[in-house]
Amino acid sequence: MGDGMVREVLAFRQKKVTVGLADSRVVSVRSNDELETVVRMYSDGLVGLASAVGPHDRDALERQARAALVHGVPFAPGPVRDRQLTHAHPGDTHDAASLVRATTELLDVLRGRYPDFVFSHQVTWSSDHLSLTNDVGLDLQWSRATTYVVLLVKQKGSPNILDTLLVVDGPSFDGDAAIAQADAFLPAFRAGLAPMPAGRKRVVFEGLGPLQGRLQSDLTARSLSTGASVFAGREVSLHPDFRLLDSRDASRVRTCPFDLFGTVRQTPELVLLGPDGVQGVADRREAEVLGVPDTGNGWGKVHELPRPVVGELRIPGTGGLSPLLDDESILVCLAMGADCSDAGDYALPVQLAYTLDAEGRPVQRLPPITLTGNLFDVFGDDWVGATETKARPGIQESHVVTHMTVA
Amino acid sequence: MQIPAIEWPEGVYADVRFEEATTTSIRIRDGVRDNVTARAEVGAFLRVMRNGMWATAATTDLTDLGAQLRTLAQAIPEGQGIDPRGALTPHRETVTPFADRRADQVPLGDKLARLEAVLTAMDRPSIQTWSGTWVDSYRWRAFCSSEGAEVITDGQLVGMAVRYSVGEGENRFSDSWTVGADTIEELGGSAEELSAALDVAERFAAEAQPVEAGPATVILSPYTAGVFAHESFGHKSEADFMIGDPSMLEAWKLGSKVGSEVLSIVDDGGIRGSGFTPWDDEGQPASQTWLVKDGVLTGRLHSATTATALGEGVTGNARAMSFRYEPIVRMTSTYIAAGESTKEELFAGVEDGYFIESFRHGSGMSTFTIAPALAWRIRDGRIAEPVRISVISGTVFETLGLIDGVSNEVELMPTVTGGCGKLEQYPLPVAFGGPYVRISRMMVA
Repeated sequence: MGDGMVREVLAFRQKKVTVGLADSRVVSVRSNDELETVVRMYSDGLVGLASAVGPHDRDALERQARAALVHGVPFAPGPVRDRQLTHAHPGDTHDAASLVRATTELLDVLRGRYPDFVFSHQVTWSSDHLSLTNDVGLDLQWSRATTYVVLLVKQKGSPNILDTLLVVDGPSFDGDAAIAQADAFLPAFRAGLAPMPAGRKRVVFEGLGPLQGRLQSDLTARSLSTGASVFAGREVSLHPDFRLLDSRDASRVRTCPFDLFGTVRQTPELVLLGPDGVQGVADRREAEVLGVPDTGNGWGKVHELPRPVVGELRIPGTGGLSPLLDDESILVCLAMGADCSDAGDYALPVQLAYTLDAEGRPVQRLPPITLTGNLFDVFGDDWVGATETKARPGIQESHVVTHMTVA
Repeated sequence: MQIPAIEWPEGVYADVRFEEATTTSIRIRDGVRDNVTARAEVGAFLRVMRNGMWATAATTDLTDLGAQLRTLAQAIPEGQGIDPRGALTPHRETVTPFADRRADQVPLGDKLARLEAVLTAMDRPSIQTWSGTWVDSYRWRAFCSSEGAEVITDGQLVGMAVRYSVGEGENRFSDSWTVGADTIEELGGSAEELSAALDVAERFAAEAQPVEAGPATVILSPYTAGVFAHESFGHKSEADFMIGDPSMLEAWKLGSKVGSEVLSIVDDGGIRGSGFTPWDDEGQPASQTWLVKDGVLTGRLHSATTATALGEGVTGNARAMSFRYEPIVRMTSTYIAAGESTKEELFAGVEDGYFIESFRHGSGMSTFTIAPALAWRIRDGRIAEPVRISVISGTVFETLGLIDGVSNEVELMPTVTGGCGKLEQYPLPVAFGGPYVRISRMMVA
């Protein structure tokens, strides 16, 4: 623009078809189609922003964004320049009829095999397109089509709102994966309660699960630099085999290869915790302020300015689950309300856990338990390992194995 | 906004929920303006139903809604579901108490100045990092149906929240300070109040010691008692989880004893505040629903569909987070009702226990968990030293039976920056609270 301002436009279009389930049957279908447009104006180290949902007057948005500069929100690094990238994660295309049909077929199987369970919630097909362009040569495009199967499963007669979940996420509707999950877990759920465990146990998680909350909040460059992170100001000594990655491998996790400021991630995986110490994530703005690398982690609500957010956490592993187990290993499936103190002490209430056989197959569910441990031990002296194989069909997470204590 | 004329499709039930919403979001981090945005959106949620089967759509295109509804009618899945029309009384009402006090009419600069005035309290060396947030939202809704309903209502929420971390190393303590109201004029909060909270946080960071894990007597503050009621029992009162499981009707039979005799829990959408829902998103009026009265199960929360399925009355609890979603059964303002003891009498009955003043988060199913923020030891009936507790937890029904004292004054707290999450709809504004509640035995860790 002639007045020294740089105009940037972020557009996010999402189309969704959602099939609603109740009582193990399809009861509804919903269509969403929404375009959200954000205009950012950069000028003299400041940024102003305006947004609209649906049809809009672009000139009016630009005027609003320009007027918003008066609020004095600093943005010292200015916009990303001269970068072009187009990346797509293709997947199935569904309309209401095709998704209802696929879901109905899945439910027919599940009802037949598991008449003592109620399946509810939804199956969603989503097509997302994100576009970020500006006046100084930025042109980034990303699209993805995904089908999510999220079934809440409740055993008839159970007093719980839900007893377990079946979750499948991928480019295609994968009913077979959902059925395989049901076949792996629901017979064990039916098998009645195992005795209450006690003491120190080998504990298996599907991904980082409930352990990750504190890791996400405390592995930003700001929390590390201000001393607010549990990892700040201490010698972090973790197991030599342990590595925690922010995974941005677009081919692996189907995530966007650039962040909402337009920083294209240069490495497929960023080591946050490992033998070389601790690394915090930052976005373009934070990197400039704190003097740290821009790791391309600017995320948040589209209509607000992004802030640094830890992305897809992953612990790399090898092989399968069996070698990591002992005779009393516990698989945690559903845990809610975990907390980790500033000293790193975890308390982890577990709603649903299973005993496992030597191959890692669920055998019997356990009564509700509370697990305790310390973050630095869980990933240090108590650490066992992680698998390369997936924890379940149809999900990305692998197994993570450590020791914790049944309180 | 003007409600567009709709040519309703024939042979199906149909309704449209129009929504016009504005939000302001200001965030200041460590003294620097981080985000200052105002946003407006207009949309509608369309529903058509035949034989209890629904096709719905969210749209920002408000032209020719009749054609959109007719197209939608062709997408209704085959089958037989629960037909709720008998429970969908077609009311015609307008209740817009905030129309002349809209927060979006106040200049953004004034809100920024007010937040920054409060944040002058953050200038102290013990604070490692902090963020201050201003949020306001105004939501106008109109529910219209092919049966002749037209219910127009509005809601508003205004608040400030400051999160901070004080102290160093293992003496670090993170907490938040929040004020909320439904108009800017009624919003409290000052630098002095925030400063007082920071004084407490500094003391807590310096002095609080970890506790030994094990069972203990616990007194919950009104705010914490509210989240306990919400998580431990409120979600189980949402009747949609009973659909498809007839055994639930027996297990959750009205009249069953579910807690101690001093326990009563209420949900009331008519109370002003962040849970205020005078008319729900199916055009049905709020009601005061006693979920538990004197320890006995007395009611549950319904949409038209769940009320029809269970043969009970609607309660005005069908709520949607925005025009993007269908209404589902949700809480509004949920609280434990007042008892007869004074707060002092409750504490006097505890020789050795814990007082949970505030919390970071809570959740619950058959067991529930609350992660306390500020917590104190109780010794000989008095609040003593601060303690660090990761979580308090218990089995819901056992714990409801272990409540042995409830104080005589209820305080309701708004949700300002967060809210209640259920399935994909988060955060929905709700309110929760109660009196001080004493529980003779909970697991403390």
